[in-house]
Amino acid sequence: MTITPPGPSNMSGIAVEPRWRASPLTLALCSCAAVTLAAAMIGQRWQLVIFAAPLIGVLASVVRQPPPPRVWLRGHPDPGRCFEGEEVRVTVTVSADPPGTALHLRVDDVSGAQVRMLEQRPERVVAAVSAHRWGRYPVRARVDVPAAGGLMTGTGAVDVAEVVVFPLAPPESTVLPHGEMRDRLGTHLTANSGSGVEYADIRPYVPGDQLRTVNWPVSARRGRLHVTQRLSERAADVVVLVDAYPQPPGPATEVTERIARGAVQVVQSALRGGDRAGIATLGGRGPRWLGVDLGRRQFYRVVDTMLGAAPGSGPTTPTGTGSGRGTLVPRPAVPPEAIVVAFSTLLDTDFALALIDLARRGHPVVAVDVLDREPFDGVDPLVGRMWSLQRSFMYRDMRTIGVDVVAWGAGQALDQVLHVVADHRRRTLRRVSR
Amino acid sequence: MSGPIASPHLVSAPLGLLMIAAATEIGAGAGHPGRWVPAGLGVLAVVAGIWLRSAAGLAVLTAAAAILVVDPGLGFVAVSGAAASGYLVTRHTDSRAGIETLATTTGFLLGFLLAAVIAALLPARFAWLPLLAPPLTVAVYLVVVQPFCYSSYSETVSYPVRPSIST
Repeated sequence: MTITPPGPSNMSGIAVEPRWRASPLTLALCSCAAVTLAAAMIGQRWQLVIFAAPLIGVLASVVRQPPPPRVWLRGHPDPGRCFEGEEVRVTVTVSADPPGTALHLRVDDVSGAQVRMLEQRPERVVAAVSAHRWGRYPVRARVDVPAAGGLMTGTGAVDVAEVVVFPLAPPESTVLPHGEMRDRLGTHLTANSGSGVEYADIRPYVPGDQLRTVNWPVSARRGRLHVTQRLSERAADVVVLVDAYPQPPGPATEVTERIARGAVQVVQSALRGGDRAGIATLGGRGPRWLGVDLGRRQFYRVVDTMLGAAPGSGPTTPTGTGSGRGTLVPRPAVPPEAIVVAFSTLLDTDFALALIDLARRGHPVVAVDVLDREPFDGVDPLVGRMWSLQRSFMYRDMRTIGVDVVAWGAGQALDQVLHVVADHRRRTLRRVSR
Repeated sequence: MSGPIASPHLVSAPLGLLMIAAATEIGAGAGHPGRWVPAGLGVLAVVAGIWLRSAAGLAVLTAAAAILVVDPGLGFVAVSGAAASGYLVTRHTDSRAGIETLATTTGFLLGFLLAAVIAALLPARFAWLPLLAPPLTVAVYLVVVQPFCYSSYSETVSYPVRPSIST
């Protein structure tokens, strides 16, 4: 709700609609006048009526006082971004029409975050906000506005800025499951020979081979020209799929914290390896996505999209963001041959169906199950065992369809967990190719 | 806000002292023998009011009590009442008030004072006047206080229609 009201250009921001109440001055005048008039009537003293008359006169002046000032609050930066444990400085300023109104500005505590006041002036507050858990933290500012010649005072509270705290992910690179890759140079070895650096094979020379690929020592020993073949290296497209469906309270809600961490680690390591990365979230108000792209900036765009803080996440915009309806991952969100890494508690059937749909479209899909224990507290151990048995059946069924499921426990490193899948898939591929 | 910081606060203490002095007829030659007690209490309250805003109301009530004790003349009471109003307004105003606001407040203050003085100067010819005065006073008080009661002020304030950008 950002508006630009008419008036000087510095008066922009969020308009405050204060709640008006009688000021301390009014209360003092009212109580003094009441006591004095009561004493006058009880004690039959006409002087006290004259003493109270000017007090009542000041109170009556409210009908002719100028209209209350209009006030705008502005927070900068909006949104402020930082990583967990870091501090972001939020400057809140207030402007009023007419200027020169005596305003009193303060910043409320932000639940879940620490707010440290660096500068506190009536019209400008600088606060350092930090949080130890990722998420979006609205910063609420409160302003006291005097009106009607000090007889009225109003207090308005507005969320002036938002601090987006990014999750910190371990720096270890995650291994990606291999699949068919598009014809783009990258860092992932493929089974095909081409123009890479990794040694593949030696074969006799055929006309048309480049001379610089000739392996001279082998040619000298065999008496015929031989060339070295190398494996081609391709880049992958990685789409991280995040489960944003509402989770049942208890352990299932607690473990969702690791969903964001895992997603960030996968995106971070993919982008560092020169791969293109994108994100799609399912659940909440329908699917949202950010198309795959390269580079450091894409990392911040992905995290912004995941935390729902991306500005203008309307229908598809030029940068490839979008939102839609339904429970499946929209086709523009996942380019052909893209590798899908999904983070979920796998409690929601719609999410599992979306994974199966992606596998049917031909994507290598890995589902990381972050729910490492049964999603209910304090039940019979037998129920827990039946639950884990049921989960293992579900893992097997999903794997049969083509969705690899790995469990990621709280104490485990994600790269080790994903390594298992990558090896497993590589073995499967090798078996298929033979 | 407590503490003598802004300029209106500098005016408030002299006005408070004037209020006490006028209420106890100090400076008017011989007066009531017991006037020094409320005068001392009032000065104490005014001094405390320099730092503590809630003491200002106490100072005004002390002045009213002094009027009860001393029974000063009409002129002294009028000066004391005007000074009391000015004292409260200046003590509670945090910064420079607009000229418009100041003129309006002063006009109403003096107007009501003048009306009260004229009413007091009129010879009370009617035997039923003491009967009429208390309800009239209460009625005037209620009418004046009414705008400050719950949410009636907010309805008189109209905000311009906000243009919306985001949906």
